[in-house]
Amino acid sequence: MRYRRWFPAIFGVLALGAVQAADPSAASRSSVQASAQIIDGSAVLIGAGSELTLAAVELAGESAHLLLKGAHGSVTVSLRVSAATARMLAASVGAVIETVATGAGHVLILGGESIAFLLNPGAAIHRHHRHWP
Amino acid sequence: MRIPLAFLLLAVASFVQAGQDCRSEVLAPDRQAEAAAQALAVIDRLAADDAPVALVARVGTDLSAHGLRYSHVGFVLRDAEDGPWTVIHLLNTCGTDASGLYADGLVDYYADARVSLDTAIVWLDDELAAALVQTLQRHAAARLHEPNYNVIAHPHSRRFQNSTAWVLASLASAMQHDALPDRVAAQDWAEASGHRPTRLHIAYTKRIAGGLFSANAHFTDHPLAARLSGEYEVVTVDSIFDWLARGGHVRRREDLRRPGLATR
Repeated sequence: MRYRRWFPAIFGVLALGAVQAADPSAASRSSVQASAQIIDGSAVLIGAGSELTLAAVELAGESAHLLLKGAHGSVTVSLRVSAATARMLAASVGAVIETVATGAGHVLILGGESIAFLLNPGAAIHRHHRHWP
Repeated sequence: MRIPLAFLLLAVASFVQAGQDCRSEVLAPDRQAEAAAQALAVIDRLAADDAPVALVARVGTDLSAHGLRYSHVGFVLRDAEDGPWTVIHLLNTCGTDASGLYADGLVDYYADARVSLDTAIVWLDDELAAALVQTLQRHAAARLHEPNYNVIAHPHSRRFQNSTAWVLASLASAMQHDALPDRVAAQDWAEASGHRPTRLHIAYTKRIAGGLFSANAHFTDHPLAARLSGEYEVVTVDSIFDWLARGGHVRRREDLRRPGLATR
């Protein structure tokens, strides 16, 4: 059998899915992060239907900052985002970002793609995670 | 070339396992928005009730093949030290054979619901709710935690525990008003007071493979007869809720469906 040697490995791959499916109480911690947080500037800019210009992307280790400008360019807001998000946006400086309100915050959209979610302050107080007790 | 390919398959398997159990990626913005909206919907329901504590179940794993909807449950405590609503629950540590107890905000809690954002809220009768608050606020429930994790832990396991078994033990301890709770005593009390574990059938190939390849699945925790038949008794969200209902401890239950987030 040409494929005999592969069998244990193939079996293993299939089996992992099987155990997951049998899992009655699986609960592992995801790395849950709000993808954007306001760190400076005018939060008023992030309103439903706003059109903002991505003025700058600054990478700083594992996080990064986006600088967004309002329609007239005089009012700005800085957001902290993940480095992955910033890298994705690095080539889009000057592009227009739309904001769409959801029940708990705003989704930022660039070219039809959701790029970040910004929690409202009222919802942000429900974001915390630590060992207990 | 055959052997390297076999190793490659194993490596992929390990990667898949790690990815499923301890994701490090940032959640997609739309997914975050959905999870946060569900958290606020749950908070609305909780705030409309005077209860100091409730149980919240979520769907982290698809158990529909076993006829089950919810895979995980925790206690949501009003005005805890971390925030207005805090979920106290047990989490497996990244697919290993260890677990920890955590205090999470509800946005975090639902961001970790991987299959669906459907949820069930169960409010307890006043006496049990008050006792459970004491159990949690005095951290007595932490004494019931066994950090050796087994996803299919037997309800009377001395060596292992999963997330639902910790919840069951905490409830049983609260029912006894036990200031210095003991896990074995809580297990015995749960059974004596009518808890009946869910019987899950796990096919032979799945349990052989699970025993070999999953750090967090220990089938030897079960009696030989169960291992031969593939019928494993496990504490589940359903078994806990049924036990509470039969004992008259459920004051109200509400299931909140959230269409729009299937598997992502």
